[in-house]
Amino acid sequence: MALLEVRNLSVDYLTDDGTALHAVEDVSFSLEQARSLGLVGESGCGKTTTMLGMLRLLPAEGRIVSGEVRYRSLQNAHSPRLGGVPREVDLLRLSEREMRKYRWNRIAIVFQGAMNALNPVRRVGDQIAEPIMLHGAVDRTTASERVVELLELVGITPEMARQYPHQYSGGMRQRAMTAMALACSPDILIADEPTTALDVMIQAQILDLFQHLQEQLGLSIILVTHDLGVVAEICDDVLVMYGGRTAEYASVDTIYNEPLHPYTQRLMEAFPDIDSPALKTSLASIPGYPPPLDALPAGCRFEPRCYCKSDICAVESPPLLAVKPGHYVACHQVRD
Amino acid sequence: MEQKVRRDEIILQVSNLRTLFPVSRGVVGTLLFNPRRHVHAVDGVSFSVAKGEILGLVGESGSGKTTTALNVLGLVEPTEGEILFNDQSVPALTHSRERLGLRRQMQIIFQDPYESLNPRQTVFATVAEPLEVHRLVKSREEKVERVKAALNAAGLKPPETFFDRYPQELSGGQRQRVVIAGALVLNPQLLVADEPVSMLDVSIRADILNLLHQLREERGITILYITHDLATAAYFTDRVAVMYLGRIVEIGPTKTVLSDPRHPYTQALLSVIPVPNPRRRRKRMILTGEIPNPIDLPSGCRFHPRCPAASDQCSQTEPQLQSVGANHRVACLSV
Amino acid sequence: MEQFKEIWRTFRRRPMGIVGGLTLLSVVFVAIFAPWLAPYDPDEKIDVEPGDLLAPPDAGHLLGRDDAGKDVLSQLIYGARVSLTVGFVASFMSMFIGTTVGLVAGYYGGRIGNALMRLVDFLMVIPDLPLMLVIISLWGRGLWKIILVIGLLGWTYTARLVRSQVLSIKERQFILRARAIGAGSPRIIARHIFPQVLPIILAEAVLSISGAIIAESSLSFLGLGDPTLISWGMMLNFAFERAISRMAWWFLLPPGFAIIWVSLGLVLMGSTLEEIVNPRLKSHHLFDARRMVALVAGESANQRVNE
Repeated sequence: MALLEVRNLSVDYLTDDGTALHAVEDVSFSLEQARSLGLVGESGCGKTTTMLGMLRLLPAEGRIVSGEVRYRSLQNAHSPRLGGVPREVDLLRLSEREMRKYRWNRIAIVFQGAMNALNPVRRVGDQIAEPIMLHGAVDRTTASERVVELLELVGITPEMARQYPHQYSGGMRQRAMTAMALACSPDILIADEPTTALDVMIQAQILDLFQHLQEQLGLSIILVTHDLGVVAEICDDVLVMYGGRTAEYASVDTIYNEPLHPYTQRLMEAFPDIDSPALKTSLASIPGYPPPLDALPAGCRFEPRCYCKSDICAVESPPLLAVKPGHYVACHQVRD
Repeated sequence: MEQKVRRDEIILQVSNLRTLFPVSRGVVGTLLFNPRRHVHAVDGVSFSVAKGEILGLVGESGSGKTTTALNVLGLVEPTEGEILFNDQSVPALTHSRERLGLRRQMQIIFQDPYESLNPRQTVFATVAEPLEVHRLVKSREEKVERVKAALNAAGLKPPETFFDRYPQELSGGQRQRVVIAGALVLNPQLLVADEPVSMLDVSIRADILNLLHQLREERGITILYITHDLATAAYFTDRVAVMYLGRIVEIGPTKTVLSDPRHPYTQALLSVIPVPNPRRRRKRMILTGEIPNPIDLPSGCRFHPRCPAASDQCSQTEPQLQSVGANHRVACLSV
Repeated sequence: MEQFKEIWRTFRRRPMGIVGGLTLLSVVFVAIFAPWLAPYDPDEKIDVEPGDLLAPPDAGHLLGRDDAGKDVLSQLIYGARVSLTVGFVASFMSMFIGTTVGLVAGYYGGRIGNALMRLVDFLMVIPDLPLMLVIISLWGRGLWKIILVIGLLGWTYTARLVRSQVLSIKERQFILRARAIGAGSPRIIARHIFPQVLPIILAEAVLSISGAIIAESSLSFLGLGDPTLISWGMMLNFAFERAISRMAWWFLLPPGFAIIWVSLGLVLMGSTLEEIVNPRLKSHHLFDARRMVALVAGESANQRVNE
């Protein structure tokens, strides 16, 4: 079994008047150790909701409707409190208390815009030490040593631990949040849009850092983003979401070079490629807009904007099928 | 589209532009007569734009690209230097009527489609406002006609259905088109587009950029395109100027600069642009450190602390733009 | 219009606010329909007998009679008119001055702004009521004098509020766009800044009206009200001077109760109004599940900012 296996996860949001908005429907993927997955999609596709659902961090209106999130734990030296944890578990079936043992300890998340979530009146070092002491029942000295270790890991000079967040630049804050996420040596790191609001060069530094962490720590990474370029740089597998469902799921090479889902194909064409010899071809765009949650199409979610549809597309939602081992597509037009 | 820049076709000429913003010294600092420090937002920028050309100003934060644009538009006063629009000096226009005349010719599109529209104004009111300010219409019918034409040109069809909508009811792409319509309604000669697509979904960006391109083709509008994203600049601009810490480090036809970058910063930027193809993961020249504070600038060449090709000379002398090819200039001592 | 819809939505979520609103509206209703509601005309000359003076409530006079034999209930009803007139007019005056000062100080800033704000500080430091007392004592009594005094001293809070709002609105991008189009300052203030400040002003207006009513009542109670008009404060004044020794509670309690009724309405509306007045409370959208979905799902393009 892989390190993490999500099967048929569905999440709804309930509105004031009781109607359920299907934010995420039937999403499945698996993550191996030391591999990274890119969760790609545009506004409203449900990628962040999927992650929040997985970690049971949904807001009050959110409901996990169905699915499994099977997690297989590895050995962990830094969290002695976890002794006695079962080998394989479904995170969705745990009680909140038990779930807390996994959150941050095993699976950590760096939220979108996290770099603005640092407490401005506490030193950065203290903030990183907090989860360490909380989860590991260690004393201050041990925690401080660990903080130094973590800062070096993410490329911040240890003296900066005594500084306050406003003295850090945007890129450094992102690194500090990453350090905080790594505090308990998790197996999996989820990064939600880690490079937006950062300069291009700093983006490259952060991605480099992630790759480095993956190699050095054997860390598995789930990168949630709308930026196809970022995903191409560091991800091994890609899951393309649209309208709350999976459109295509395959290795990064396949997605970029042999995409089969019309949405994936058009998305690739819409993304500027600076190396492309035909530099002056105008960029493709997809007409229309992503479907609003309260007015989802009856059939395939992408059908209203698709250029190669047939009658069945508007009526029936296509199932996710394997066209080749490891290459899944949800499209009626793609049948092998 | 490669264009030779002919003297008589130049619509905008910026010369030795410097814009410094004073940094507050605080009460204690003032009492102690501490020396005044400044943010060197724009520090010696010169370039010219031909009529109908699309020039890209590319840079990261602190590069001064947005401040340069605001200077050109006359929304921020320069500390030094000259800005000539149609041979008229922009900073010298102090009289409000002259300023108004200038505003008609130059318009701006902002980055954030959620913030650049008044949430309490309908689409019609927003697009009609420039007409009212400049008193260009005499009757309601005329106003409606011009607003319709502008919305049409911006791709919002049918235009009447948008008249009474509020910005909150529209998507990001639609809002941006409203902003564009508002800019077009005056038939300006110059359009400054400050990151017009960076907050939009990837699949919609091309639409907006293609629209701007079309406007250049059909109306001959000159466009100053400001962005941090070299990749979209590659698709969109005729010429590109790469800026770093308030100065232009390289400028030339886009194809040339991208295929033959001469300045180490340009080279680094190009190398780290994510390529959407894993088979072409190339060697990235990732610069260490961050962009220095525009208040305390490095001596000599501003880039030298991070430059992989820096020599001793670089920390002492500030390089000027020199020609290295047809219309291609670079500010680097190693060239 | 959009801002009214917003205000209405906020009220719908807060039943206490609606109760407060109805309370205040009932007073307005009584004041408007006074001639039809009051059983007697307080100005009418009536023949009184000694037994009528400070007569307790009976069938003909539900709240009894005052020390001159006049019906208390009618006076109470007509008194609402005076209180509300003073309330609305004085409040309008102070809102107008406060808003103008706030807009000018906030938008133009600089020396004008500073000077205005120092004036505001100065006036805020002086306690309102004692100052009003002094002025009225020196100037003389009269309805319009009272209105002027309350109106001309009560604008400072509004000015502060409006100014701070203007300072933050001024930085928003659609203001820059308005400047880029060529709009001049008056237009920007009127078309772009004022509409944004309007909900706050409206919410503040209700609070201000109630405050003015109470100020008038206080002045009248202390004997500085307009002697020719009956207001609740005046009634209290007379009651305290003349009725208290006779335990004529029907003369004493009703005006006091009326003032409390107004204050109650104010307090109940208070927190709801605060929500409207404080834009930060509102902008959380935590009450609106749909917007929460967009926010938490993080899918709105708001998130991608560079620089």
